[in-house]
Amino acid sequence: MLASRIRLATAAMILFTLTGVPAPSPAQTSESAGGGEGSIPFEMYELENGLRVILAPDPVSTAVAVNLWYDVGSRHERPGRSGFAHLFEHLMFEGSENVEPGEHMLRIERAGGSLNASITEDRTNYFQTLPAERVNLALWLEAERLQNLQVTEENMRREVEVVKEERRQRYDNNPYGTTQLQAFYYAPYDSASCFAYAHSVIGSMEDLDAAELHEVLEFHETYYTPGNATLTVAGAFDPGQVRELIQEYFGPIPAGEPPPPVECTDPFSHLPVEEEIHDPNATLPATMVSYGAVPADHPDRYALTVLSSILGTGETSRFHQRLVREEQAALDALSFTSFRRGPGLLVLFAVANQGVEPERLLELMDEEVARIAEEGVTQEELERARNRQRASEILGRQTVMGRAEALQWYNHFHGTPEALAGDLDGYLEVTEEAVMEAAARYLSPENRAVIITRTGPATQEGNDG
Amino acid sequence: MDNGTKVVRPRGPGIPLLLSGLIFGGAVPLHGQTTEPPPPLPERPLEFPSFQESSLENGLEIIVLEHRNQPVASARLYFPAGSIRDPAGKEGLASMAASVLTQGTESRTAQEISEAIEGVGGSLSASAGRDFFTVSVSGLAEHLHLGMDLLSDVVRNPTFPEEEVELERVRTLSSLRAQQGQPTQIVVRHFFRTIYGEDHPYGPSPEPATVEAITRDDLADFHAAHLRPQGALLVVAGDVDLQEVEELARSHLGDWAAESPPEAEVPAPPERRDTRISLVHRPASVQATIAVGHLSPGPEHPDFFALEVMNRVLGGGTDSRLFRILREERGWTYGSYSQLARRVHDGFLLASAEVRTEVTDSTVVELLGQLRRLRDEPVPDEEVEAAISYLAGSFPLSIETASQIAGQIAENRLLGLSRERLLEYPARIREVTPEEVRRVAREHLDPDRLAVVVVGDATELLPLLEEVGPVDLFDVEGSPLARQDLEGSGTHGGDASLLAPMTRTYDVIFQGDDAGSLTYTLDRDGDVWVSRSEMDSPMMSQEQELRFSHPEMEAVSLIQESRQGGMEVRAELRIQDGRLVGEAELPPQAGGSQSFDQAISSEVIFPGMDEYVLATTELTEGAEISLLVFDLMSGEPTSIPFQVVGEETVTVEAGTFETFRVEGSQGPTPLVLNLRQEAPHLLVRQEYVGAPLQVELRSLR
Repeated sequence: MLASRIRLATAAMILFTLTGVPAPSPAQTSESAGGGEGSIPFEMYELENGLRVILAPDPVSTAVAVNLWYDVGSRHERPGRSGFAHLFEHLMFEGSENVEPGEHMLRIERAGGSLNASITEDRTNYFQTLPAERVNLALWLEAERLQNLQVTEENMRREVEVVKEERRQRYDNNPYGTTQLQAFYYAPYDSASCFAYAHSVIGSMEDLDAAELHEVLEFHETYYTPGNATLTVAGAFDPGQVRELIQEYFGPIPAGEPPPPVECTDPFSHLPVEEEIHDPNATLPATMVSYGAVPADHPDRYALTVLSSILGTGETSRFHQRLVREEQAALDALSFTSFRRGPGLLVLFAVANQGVEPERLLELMDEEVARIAEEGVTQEELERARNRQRASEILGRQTVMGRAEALQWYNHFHGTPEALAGDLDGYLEVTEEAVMEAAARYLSPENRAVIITRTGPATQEGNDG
Repeated sequence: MDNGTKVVRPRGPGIPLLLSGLIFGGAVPLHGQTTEPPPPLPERPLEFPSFQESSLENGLEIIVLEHRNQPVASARLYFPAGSIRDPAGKEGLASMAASVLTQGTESRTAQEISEAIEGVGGSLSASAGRDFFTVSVSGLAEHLHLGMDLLSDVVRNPTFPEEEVELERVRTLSSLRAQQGQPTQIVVRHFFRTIYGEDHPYGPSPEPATVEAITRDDLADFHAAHLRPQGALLVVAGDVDLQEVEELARSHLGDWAAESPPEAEVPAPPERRDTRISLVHRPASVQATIAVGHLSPGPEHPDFFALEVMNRVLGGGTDSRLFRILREERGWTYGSYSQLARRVHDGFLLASAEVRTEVTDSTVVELLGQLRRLRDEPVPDEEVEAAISYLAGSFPLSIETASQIAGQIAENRLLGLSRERLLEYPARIREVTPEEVRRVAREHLDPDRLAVVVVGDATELLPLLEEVGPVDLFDVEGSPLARQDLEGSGTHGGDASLLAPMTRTYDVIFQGDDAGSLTYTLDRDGDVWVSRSEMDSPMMSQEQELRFSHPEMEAVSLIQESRQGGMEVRAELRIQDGRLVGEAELPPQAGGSQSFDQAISSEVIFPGMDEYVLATTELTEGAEISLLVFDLMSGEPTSIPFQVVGEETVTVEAGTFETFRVEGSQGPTPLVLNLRQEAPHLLVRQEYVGAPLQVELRSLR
């Protein structure tokens, strides 16, 4: 992420964007007035060169969001080049034919706007929020770096150093940084059958150093094409005017070839795995458990999300009640899902209170999972999980950027932004049986990677190569 | 890219052409991208959203913001009582009172409270900052009545149950410990201690001992004294209206007895006499976290707007000097920023960066230099315009959501500023001139009285920073640290005076079968020890010449050639004036040809030296030894831990030895070593756990 102002992850907050799912079917012009709660009115169409466009005007907004998703993430990298897609995201700020290095950022900020870019396993996004009258500036700048990117050897080398510094700040110098890398990538995914997810987004230091300029240009040619991108504009703008601006700036860009597909078959067959690491940055031991789960568009995602919420979200959660309050064994104990385009994860994470062994945390979490699989959940718990989902989705759509991201997310992972309108219903339909079955089926000891973190001098971590 | 200060290159004409296409639309130009970005579209006038003010008879003030963009609502209740009210020796009291406030009332248990609010997908929380105590509730607008009921209940009727207090104490102590692992937390705590001093209420932070000292009655007394309606402010925002809010407030908080909380006394902070560096030793850090700053005028000061512009020029964003120079030009950091904080009685300016250890001194010098430059050189008009353009132009983005707007209204009121200040902010910013920026920089910046705090591995940082200015050393808890304590921990325990020239041969055994041999010869060449080794095995061949100093055992040089499977590694490295220089040929996946020229700590040893260091270190059962070994593949020192776990008698070709059993690891592979108990503790046997590979001593001469 170029998310420079996003600060360090703390024990209780994992700074991974949780995403996950299927290839977007080539959408033709479609219109949706939207229906159902939390829906966002939008129209969608496609330029001749394949660029998909989603427009979500809202006259009440004070600002406008210009948001571009490319269908490229760390899953598209090959062995020996981990971190390359992320490095590339940085390089998109390093200038093009008509824009100096850093000028994109400078112009947006000087217009009073804010901007950033981020990358996950499955996608890269570039986004800016601006005062309404500067929507044209953001569109022009995005079209410019899509078609005219220029990167020099020198810029690339300097950006490699910035990314290495980012890795140190985010992981190597941060408590549980190594734990996160192990638990999200190296341990749960089998590198042979699914390199796509078995290496980290940030990449390894060696691979970053190995990046060569011609590879950067090839990467741009392969993945940064109109046909591999979706542009969303949301908030205060005139749709007629913006349609014309988009045609003017993006229309003449050549279409490009579809990029090669990504392989990830049977990534969890090597489980179970158990690893122990020593983290010199950690002052308390911790236990992180990653269970093999499903892609983001799989029907079981609803039950898994509700299960995760009941286990480890909020003070009423099973983990909080048992590990934090009753046993006073954990400083914090959480559960979350990390759905991806391919098979994703359900992750448990607990930080021990002083004097508590991490094995004890694992025992307690196992007991709580077993209790749900065997005895079920209460109606109140189901209700709470659904209401939480509903509130968080509505709260997330207060900003123009929140609305643009929601549309992009459904488009990327569910094939169409229209999936947004009905998605909340899926959570309302989850039954007690479905939650029990999800716990028994996915949260079994055979289907997991356990990472025990101890304090003290470092051991080397897993490898991205 | 050139390294000058050029920011934007001059632009030619071209704007009129584009305008016609933009405003009248329709026609699509024949050619693609223009070379100039388009000028702004017509501006949409925007004003700060209107809000309504009201109050109850008991003195509680109410602000209502009607904002119907989404069906959500929030209510926040502020009291003028933060950590500033913590009695000396009980730092952490306000914060602990906030945490336990929501954990039980006269009519609800902690469980009932969390079930009620989480049941509707909402959230209820209380927190204590420096000057204010805040209780807030948020969720969907349809649940506002429930939210207000819970909020008033925890504020008026908390019981601070004994068991909840003890639970919170355990959590607070653990989170204090967790914070000690986070360099950004350490640097901020130390920065405040430095600028305010120990005796000022804004100086000290909670410590384990002060948290231990807090009792249940302290929490109840804090609540009784400070959470009163007089002076409190309720801000409700979202899909609500004034009448609804007034009714809710009256029914839940109207009969709350009026009573004024005591006034806080804030002494003047100490004067700083010079710029000093506080170096906080955090062993094994791979980065240094730097904070530089001092106190600045409070928000009511007439220079505040010009100071905001100055801060933006310095480090407010990614188009500011710090980010552009430290990240974009030098590549030293992932980000460097400055902030100008507004507090009730004062404010502070703080510039910060996280950088790799070897550029720490350069970064501190650059940060100090940039502060000086603001004072001594006129700020170009263009930079001032850019700063103003951002600060005033970002206004539409600052009023997007109900909670953003409510936050600004509340902050303005709590800082004691007028309503006009809030409404006029963009206009006042636009009036700032370059002359004013320079004047306020001269009047309010003082590069000779700065607090500089650096958190990182002091064994490496101390010599670098002593070149920059006077350094005071501290541990992560903030206690002063003596330089000799540091030196003790900063070097490995090896001592070459225990060594003598010798030759050792080892058998390499793979799956129980003979798989070749490995020979080491150690000789003395003046002040340098030379170890030559040769491995001859079908699995791997390796030749190595290693040089290290007598008697400190600092690395001197390494020449290595090895072949394993199809992979070849060649390296020639040497230490020269505290830098590691040389070349290596690595497998393509590890980066191919590499050349090295980097600062390196004298503690770092070359691969292969670990054996000799362990052989001459004092070993006792239970001892943990961590060696920093330079890793060719990553190009960085890697910490390799060893632990003496017990004693064993081992018989090998060379004889029977009393040994220490030592566990360690090589990369992800665990290792078991048997080292002779008699010094030097030579390697008798080595085994890779989980791999059928052993090395055993055959002869020793």
